[in-house]
Amino acid sequence: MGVARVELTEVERMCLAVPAMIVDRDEAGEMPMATVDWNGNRRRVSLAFTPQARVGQWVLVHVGVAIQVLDEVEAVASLAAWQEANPTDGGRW
Amino acid sequence: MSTARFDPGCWRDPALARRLLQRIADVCAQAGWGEAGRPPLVVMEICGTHTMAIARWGLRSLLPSGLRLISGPGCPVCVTDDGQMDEMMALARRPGVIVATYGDLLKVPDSRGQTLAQARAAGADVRVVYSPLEAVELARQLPERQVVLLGVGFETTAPGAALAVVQAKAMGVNNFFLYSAHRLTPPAMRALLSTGEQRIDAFLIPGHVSAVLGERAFAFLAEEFGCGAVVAGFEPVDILAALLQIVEEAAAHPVAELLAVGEARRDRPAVCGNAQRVVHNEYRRAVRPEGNPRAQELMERVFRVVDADWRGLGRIPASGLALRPEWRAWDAQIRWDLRLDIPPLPSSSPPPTTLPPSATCLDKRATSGCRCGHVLRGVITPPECPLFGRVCTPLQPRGPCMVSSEGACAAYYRYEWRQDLAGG
Repeated sequence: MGVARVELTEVERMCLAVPAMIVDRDEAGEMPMATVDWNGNRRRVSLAFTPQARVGQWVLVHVGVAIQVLDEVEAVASLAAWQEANPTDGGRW
Repeated sequence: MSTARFDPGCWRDPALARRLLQRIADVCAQAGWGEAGRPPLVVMEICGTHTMAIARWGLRSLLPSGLRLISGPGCPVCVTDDGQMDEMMALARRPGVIVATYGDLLKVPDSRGQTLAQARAAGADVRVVYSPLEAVELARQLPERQVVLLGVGFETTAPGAALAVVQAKAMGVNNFFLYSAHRLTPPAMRALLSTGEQRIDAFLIPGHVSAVLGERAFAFLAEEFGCGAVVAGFEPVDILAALLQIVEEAAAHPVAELLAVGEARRDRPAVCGNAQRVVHNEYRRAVRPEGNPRAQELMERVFRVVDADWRGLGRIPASGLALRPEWRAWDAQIRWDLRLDIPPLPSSSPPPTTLPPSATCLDKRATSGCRCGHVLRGVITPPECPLFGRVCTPLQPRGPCMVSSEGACAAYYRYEWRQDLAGG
């Protein structure tokens, strides 16, 4: 589990924000909370800044707070644009 | 239902990275940077996570010599000045006080070389928390104690601290306090550019600060300074795509052409200019133009903007966050009367960001040979410091840039120093 241990340390580092998937939402308290999964690590995070986030969506988690919902359409578009980068075609890429 | 499209693996594809690298190399070769007496294109990253990612993935060694990456003041732990470290240490030593901190701060020395880790070993109650909300919960569980959260970090981290204060009020937790050493990134970038101390053609803009603030917060880099400015994510493909955007734009608008049409500033000689005067966003999956308005609103509600001292940069106007007066009951600085209040400059006044020439380490370490201040301003790379790797190592750090895992010196030491020292 050496790799997992390294990744866990990364999660703990203050500066890092990591993408994690919402597996459960908890509306019991005043602040919306969620359980997120990141590489098998589960954490409870606040959805105070992303109350619209649904189960199955990915959020950017920083110091226990989801600071943004990740946009799948943009993710797919970015990857596609970069994949099409062709050093010889003389186009945009 | 989402797929694993956001899994970091998607953004670490070696074939895609190679393709982007090849294109960057082609553009640089065509532009002729770094050849025949022409200077290389200089790109500064001002986020510790970018610094780490560039070092960890070995990107510097893969990029052509015509493209030079330098690190700026992007590590919040590193830029926290000695005065604030001393105050945090003083808090930790108070009987009855529990200091809650992010792990990164534990080994940063104060002006006397003492660390929170040492204070803890000597009996101080210092606890590492992952989230500011954990500190509020700790205070709720221990009503007879006073729990102080050491709030260090940029605009990505500050909303969480604001949330903790609001949560403490909502829960009636009156033994939770925030010590705010939060800093704002745009004023530091402005201060750096205003010194003219080093040439910076373009910036890799921190993706997670932008996720909160939105890309508009960095428009001044392009509009006022004519710098290239591209919001970048943190995986290798993210960073390479942003660098490609930077070199393509720079190649399309050589500085001679810009000077001819009055688009470049003659007092800030640059290889290129940002003719379109726009910030580009290559981290669209996380960064919207408006950022996260909820997080911005809460920061605005809880914090006010104040002048702040930065290690290596000196005092920068309107570059720090302190609690607003209405939250004074949760303000550690007020509760323990820690520092003089520095009023913010009127927002209408232009930022007088001339740095004091002596703004090197701003502390006693300056005389010990530590060149942390120069590293934070991108004037030297870590291996150019005489202490680097010899007497200053992660196990025995002399300066904050070696202490923090996100510091430029720590990143170079861990991933790049052999190569650099072998060359020098």
